[in-house]
Amino acid sequence: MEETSLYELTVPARFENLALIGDFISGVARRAGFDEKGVFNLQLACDEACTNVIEHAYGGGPGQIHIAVTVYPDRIQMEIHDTGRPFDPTTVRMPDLEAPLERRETGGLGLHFMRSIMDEVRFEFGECGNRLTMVKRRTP
Amino acid sequence: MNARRSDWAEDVWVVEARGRLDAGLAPELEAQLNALLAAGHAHIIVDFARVSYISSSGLKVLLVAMRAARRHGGDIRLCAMSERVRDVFTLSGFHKIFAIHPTEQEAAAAFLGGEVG
Repeated sequence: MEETSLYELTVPARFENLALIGDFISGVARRAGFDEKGVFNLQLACDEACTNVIEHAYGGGPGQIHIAVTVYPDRIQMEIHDTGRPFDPTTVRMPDLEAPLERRETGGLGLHFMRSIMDEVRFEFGECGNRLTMVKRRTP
Repeated sequence: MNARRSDWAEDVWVVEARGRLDAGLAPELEAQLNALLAAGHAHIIVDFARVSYISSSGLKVLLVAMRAARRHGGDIRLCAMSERVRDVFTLSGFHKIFAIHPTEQEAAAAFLGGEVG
């Protein structure tokens, strides 16, 4: 596949739309030739990002999530845009994956998944809202 | 999601989780687990056979329920997990917190054997 393909989805920022977003990402990733594990992981990274948007950027209030997925010959890029409050990932403490049950925290787990799965995770905040760009390169 | 008594061990309850355990559906699992714990049933198996997906939202529900179960002298064991869902447990380190069994029968046997997860 040499050409670049763009797929876009805009949905209201509600938890019940996460399944729809998951189906969209899975469909595009499958069409782009990712295997089932790759498809699942891309869905997980996007789901965690969108969950953060719904929960933190919009605080459960109304808003839209715009997702643009671009498939390149060597990589797939997911851009997630919202117009809610800026979310600064540097304020999120990374979870201690070795902590025992009583000291285990769940904050930061979504961000940990995104960073573990994707090759690039970039947050940008501007007048037009928040933009998260995540890139996954194809394994040769 | 349904809850029922295990066929394999007395006083062990099974939650038949299903679908996508994301932020949209995790509250259903939470409600089911809370109902069992409130009724005094703290020995619980969550059957993952029909679970296609889990995110950090689903893991969070399990973690909170596990703490409550342990406070009541019980435990939560998981069974019949797909490879993809199991990967999420490994990525999060939750495979060290939860015992994951191939089948409900084996999870129930671990309860009977007094094995600590």
